[in-house]
Amino acid sequence: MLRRRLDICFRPLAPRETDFECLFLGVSLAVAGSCFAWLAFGLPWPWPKCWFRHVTGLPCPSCGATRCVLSLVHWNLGDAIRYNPLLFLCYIGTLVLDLYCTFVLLLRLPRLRLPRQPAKIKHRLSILVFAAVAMNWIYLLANH
Amino acid sequence: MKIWINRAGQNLGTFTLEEVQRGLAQGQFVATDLGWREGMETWKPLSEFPGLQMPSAREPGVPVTQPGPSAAPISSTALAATEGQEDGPAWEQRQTLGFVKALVETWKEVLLKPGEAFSQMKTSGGFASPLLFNAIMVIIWAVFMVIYQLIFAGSMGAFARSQADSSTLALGFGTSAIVVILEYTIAIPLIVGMNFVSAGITHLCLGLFKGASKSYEATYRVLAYSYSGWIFAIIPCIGGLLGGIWALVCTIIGLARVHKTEGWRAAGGVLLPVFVCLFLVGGIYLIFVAMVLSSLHNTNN
Repeated sequence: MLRRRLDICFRPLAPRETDFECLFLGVSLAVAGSCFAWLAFGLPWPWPKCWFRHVTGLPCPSCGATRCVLSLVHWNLGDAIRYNPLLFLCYIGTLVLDLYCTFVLLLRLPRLRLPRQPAKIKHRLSILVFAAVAMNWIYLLANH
Repeated sequence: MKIWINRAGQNLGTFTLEEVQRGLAQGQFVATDLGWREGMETWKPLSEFPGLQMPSAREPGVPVTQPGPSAAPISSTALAATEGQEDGPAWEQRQTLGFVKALVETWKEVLLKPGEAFSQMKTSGGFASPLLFNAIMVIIWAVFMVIYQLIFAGSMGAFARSQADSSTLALGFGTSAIVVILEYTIAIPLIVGMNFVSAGITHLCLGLFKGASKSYEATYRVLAYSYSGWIFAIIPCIGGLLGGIWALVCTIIGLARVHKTEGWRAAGGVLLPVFVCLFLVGGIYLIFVAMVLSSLHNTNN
């Protein structure tokens, strides 16, 4: 029913169509690989620390991102959620999407596609994301 | 059942059979466009699509200029992009212009005439071209950062340790040079990858301001080509800052032109995360000042 409501379909790629699955997998693996190499080599970060935390002493919306992913890598899910719940969901979502991309690319399966959604739905989705970021930040500030 | 229509790798949308038939009659679709619907294994040209009747032969890519009121709702940008009205910047034509010339022309267009450059920018056609441009700009930035960092660190080290054993000094300098080069080598794919995330956040924020009329790909292309500002990394010390500021300005102008929206919406979309943080910081300081003033007032009383 959800599939019919959202008009989801599984279809093959058209000739010369952008392969979003390949792109997403490539970019996410490149970023993950770079971060892993950075931490594995113990390199110092070249860019400044979080200016928001430096000025106010309070966490910014993305504070805890590194601790969250390190806890996730060590399968410490409780700590990972505690450090930053929203980013934890983003990391899990990225992992799930990477698995989906790997499967469809290896097995040459049809791709999951949504047709263009009306502007109203996109606007509501933007508000939902903004609200989630705000609630996550309130949680981080409350548990600082 | 909806039919997906694709032309030259770009999806034009989903339509009913009646809408496609009407589009064919009015010239918005042509026989060589590809169609797919559920149950089909592969895409087929509309000329071979079951249930469709082809109109009389028409030159492909030339739609009727004034479609009727009940015309199939194809976005004008989709048609314009495939018809070649938006074909910039010069980097998109690097096959004909040559690699270096296309790169230099793109810098000149984006840095000197960003409004014009982004008005003519191709808003679809894949991520490969803008991704490659973005990667090249980040590599150029990284090369100059490494050079200046090594020169600066080397001269400071030599000045500070002028009495030290030369072999120890050379070993220290060599090791730190390797670390610096390794840092920036690893940073390159990280920055290029995170640009996709930045584009996603910017596109969402732009949507909040009701300024996004095109796809995420269009937003990503603006951000990628705005990296032309990073060429200022050639200037030591302040080049990075200059480049970052001009890239931000180009991004705002680019988003306004590409999404055909007002400048304030584009600026809001780009700066919203910064505004929220500044608002909170400002609010905290106001509360702090109010508390101090209140305690002073109570003390006086």
